[in-house]
Amino acid sequence: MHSLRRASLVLLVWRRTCSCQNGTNATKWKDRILGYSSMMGRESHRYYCTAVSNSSEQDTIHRLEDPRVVSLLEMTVKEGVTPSDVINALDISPELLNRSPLQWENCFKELKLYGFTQRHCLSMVAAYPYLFTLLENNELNLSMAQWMNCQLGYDNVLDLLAACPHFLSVTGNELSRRIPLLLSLGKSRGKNVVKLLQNCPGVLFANWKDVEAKLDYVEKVMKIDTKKENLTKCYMFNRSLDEIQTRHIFLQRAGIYVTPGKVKGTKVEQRQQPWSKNPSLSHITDTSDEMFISEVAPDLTLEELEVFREMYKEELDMEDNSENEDELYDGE
Amino acid sequence: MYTNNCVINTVCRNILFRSSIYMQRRWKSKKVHWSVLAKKKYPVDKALEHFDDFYKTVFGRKWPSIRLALLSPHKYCAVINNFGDSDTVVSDLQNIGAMNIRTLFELEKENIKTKKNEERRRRDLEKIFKLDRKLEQMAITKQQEEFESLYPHRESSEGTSVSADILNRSSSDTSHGISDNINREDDAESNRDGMSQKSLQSSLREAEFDSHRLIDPASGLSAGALYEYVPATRLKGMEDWIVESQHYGYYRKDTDFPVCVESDNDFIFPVHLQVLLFERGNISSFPSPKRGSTDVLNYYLMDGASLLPVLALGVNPGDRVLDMCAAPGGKSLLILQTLFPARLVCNDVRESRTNRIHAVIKQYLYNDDMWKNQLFITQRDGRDIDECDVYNKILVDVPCTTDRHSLHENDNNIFKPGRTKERLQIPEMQAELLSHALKLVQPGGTVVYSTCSLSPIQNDGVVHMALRKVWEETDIQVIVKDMTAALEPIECVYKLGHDLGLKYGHLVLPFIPCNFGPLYFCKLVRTK
Repeated sequence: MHSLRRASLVLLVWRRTCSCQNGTNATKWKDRILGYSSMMGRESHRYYCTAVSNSSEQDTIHRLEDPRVVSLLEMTVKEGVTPSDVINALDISPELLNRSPLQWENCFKELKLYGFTQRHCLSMVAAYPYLFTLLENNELNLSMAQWMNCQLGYDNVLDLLAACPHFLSVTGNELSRRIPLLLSLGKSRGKNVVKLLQNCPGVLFANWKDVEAKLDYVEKVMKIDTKKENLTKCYMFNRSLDEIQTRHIFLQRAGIYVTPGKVKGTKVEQRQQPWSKNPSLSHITDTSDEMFISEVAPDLTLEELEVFREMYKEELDMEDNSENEDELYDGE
Repeated sequence: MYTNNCVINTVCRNILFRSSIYMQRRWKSKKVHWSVLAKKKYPVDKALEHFDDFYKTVFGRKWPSIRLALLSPHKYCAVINNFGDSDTVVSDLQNIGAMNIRTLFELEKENIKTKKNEERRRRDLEKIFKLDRKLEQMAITKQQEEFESLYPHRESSEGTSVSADILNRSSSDTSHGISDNINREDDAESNRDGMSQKSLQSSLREAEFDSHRLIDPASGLSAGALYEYVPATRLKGMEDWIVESQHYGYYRKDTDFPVCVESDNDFIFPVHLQVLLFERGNISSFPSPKRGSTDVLNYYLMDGASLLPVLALGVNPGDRVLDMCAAPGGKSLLILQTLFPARLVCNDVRESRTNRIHAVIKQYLYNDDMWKNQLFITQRDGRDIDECDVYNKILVDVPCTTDRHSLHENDNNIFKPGRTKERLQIPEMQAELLSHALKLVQPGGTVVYSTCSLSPIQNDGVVHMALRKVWEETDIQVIVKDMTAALEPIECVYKLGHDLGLKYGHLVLPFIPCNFGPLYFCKLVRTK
């Protein structure tokens, strides 16, 4: 097995020298590698060669010329990671090449201890190469402990950190301040909080007053029942308050969004109220402009939305200016 | 009752306070409690509810766009005061991005004319080429038939090649629409034809052709018929005949009195009238007008749509114009700025309103004495004006529900409960004013009816009622002018309502990128 692998590598080197001397003859050496790989039993080696044969010739040659890549591929193949994934990861974060295969191995080992899968490990490392530094400084353990302390559920936290590995750098203080607030948003369910953080990562760092302002607007102005509406499912917190307000007022003035009132009645009567036809919060906040116009406000045009946005910005600026003037006046 | 309770409570509290006995504090009067205020329906809310119920059915899917624009800030245009520093003001405003509406209008008119000419030319060229191809096809078939009759054993391929040759020679003649020269075999001629055939495409583009003389060969097959065709200039016995479509224009299915509608193809933009505005999509606003060297304000800010009834009136030099319901005076000022009228009478029913007209005139005209014999401000009910046959142009800008204003101002709102009766009687009053104006105006004169409402009852409905009234009570004949063609160039600036079932007039719809209106206007000309 080892000898076969070594032979394939030797062939690669030989191929390199040949191309230096005379013109390229791509197919021959690929066929030979494929030929050797067919003799190997393991799937991973076949993937290795497929990756080699699929990628463009120049890229692969360039990559495989780098001995660091070769040794990295050797290590990751052992871990069960496909070579094509590794090459993609290197595309995303080229600085990963500065880490030795040993560092990679340690990192994978540590992360696997917590329960992350190989795919997770690679994606985390690709998205956040600083993970290696955390590991070297023994901060990873501390960070993981802090996260587990948040009482969000072990599996939920693993899913979250696999998707957003940069959260490992958040300090314990910040976490202890912010997570309880998010739990109150997510009706004390860890899964909801994790979903919210995955959709709107900014919510972990943003000024809580801004987050509260958005919540207030949704509850008190748009009069959406936040108990029924699961705020953690939409991407509302990614938008600024001004954007949410602009879209809401646009729909309200056009008569598409009717402010709900308090009407006591049966469920059938509730359904007959004009506000039962209001577009949902996620349709209002999560859609692109084109989608917003075509799905939520089909009787209006993109031109009207753009002009209204400019117009409403001026209205908001005038309101802010008049509020500031009032404050100055009160202060005097 | 509540007020009495409050007074009693306050008195008691004062007495008891003085005697140092503690008394429980009473809550404030219920009327100002926040929950009561939150549920209170103001006239603007009532107006919006009314419009939602009514206009949704009238405008259908266009209503959200109109509603959005009505509730958003209004767009204004600036009417330059010719009695101020007009030149400097125009260049100042143009420097901040405003455009002269007359320039826009003229440019758009040219564009439309060029497009229409190109379209017409393209259609005629297509007709010619179609005929051309048909003739070629006919020639080929005819040639084949002839060859078969003459040389029945000859191979078909030779026949087609020969016929193709001859076809080339004959194709030059098809540019004139008549071809009888299929059998020409002159070489010199064929060269000439070949040369002209090469430039057929290009020469056709520059050629002057009479499209009325094109004949479809499928319908006029025989050579004899083609030779004998002479276009008739007059058909004997058809003098009393009128085209059917025109005939039905006099009678409409849903009216029981005759209504004559004629199209008005153009309206003139008076030379001295200068109106500036920002183009579609530009929400910049004009700075407040300032006083110039003549101590009058430099420009007047008004709704851009208000320009259209004045343009429709078509004021010419020497006209005697009556503005029947002039307050606050914007349209009267526009008429004055054309510098055409020999006499302008601005009338309104109440003193408070005529005072506003006075105020506006004072702000914009610097020499009252100059206008002594030309400008008159009167205070009468429009229905009581009895100067018949004096005015040749009357503008009837009637009081209406002022839709945009009613959605923003609660003060004296027409939708407040105390004015319900007045609001319901508005259409009747409007119809009386319009029919009276039609009786007042000189024969040949123009009456323009305008409102700032979207309601079909106050718009086409009132025009219909007034026309019927005039037909029933007098022998005055009135033509309704359909200005659709004349208004085409203006659509780059305004959003006009189409496909809304408007029978008589035109409607400017509020639209966020050009938030003018709402304005309805209808041009009526008295013929007898």
